[in-house]
Amino acid sequence: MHYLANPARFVRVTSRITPFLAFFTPLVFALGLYLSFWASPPDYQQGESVRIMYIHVPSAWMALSVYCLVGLASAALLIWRHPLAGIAAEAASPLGMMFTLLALISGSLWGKPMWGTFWVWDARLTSFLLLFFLYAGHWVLLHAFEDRERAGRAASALAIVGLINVPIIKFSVDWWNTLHQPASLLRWQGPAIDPAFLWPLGIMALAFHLYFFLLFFWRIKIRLLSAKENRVALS
Amino acid sequence: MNAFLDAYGIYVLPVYGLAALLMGFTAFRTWRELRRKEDPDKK
Repeated sequence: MHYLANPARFVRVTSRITPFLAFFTPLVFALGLYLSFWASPPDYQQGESVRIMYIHVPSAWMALSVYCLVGLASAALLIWRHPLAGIAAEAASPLGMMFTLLALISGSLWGKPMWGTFWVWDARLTSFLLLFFLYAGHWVLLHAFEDRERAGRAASALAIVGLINVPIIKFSVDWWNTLHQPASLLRWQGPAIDPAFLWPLGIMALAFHLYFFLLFFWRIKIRLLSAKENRVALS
Repeated sequence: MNAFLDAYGIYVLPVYGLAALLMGFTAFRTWRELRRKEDPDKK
């Protein structure tokens, strides 16, 4: 990790990785879409609506894991004051917000045919909406101050406090009575769904991860190039 | 076309469409911004 903490080295390493990510991301998405739409069966209870899962679940996973990344990078910024940590948090946060929005809307569109309603104020949905507001708050704080260092510190503090929401989201379906179903994949007893649904879900999850890392590295590079431009303009 | 819409309903396709729009637009904007930063002459 320390090896990559040097911005120039980070750009050098990620510049070698991004062409592969840019090549494989659309391919894995194409395979995932083929499996999601044509190679997987409809569910015996949900019918074709089950195909929403292949977008909803990976985007919800990404929303949570990207928030953990933002929280950890924010902690690194506050503890070690490493500028690359701040840039990483700033680069990841809008992507996480996009995944959260996608998970909320796809969940809502899945809820209507399954539950008969687009929205309920149950613990899982409410805590996930709070995650969206945490991302939005992080973004607002990053742009609320002219002093970028101060903005980074304020946004980092919010991101770290917001980490408490991650286990609440994960375990909300176990701790409270929710309309949202309990975990059916990430559980001690193993996945509760059939492999016919697991494969498309796994491939789509891989595609979402590749997509995230591609854009994450691109965004970091943009920030570093902007910082370089500003230094040249000032000198 | 009708068979396709009947099969995938009014909920499945909007989800995939929204995902494609959101993720595609974000990727395109990021890629374009990176290109401009890497080569300012292309502005």
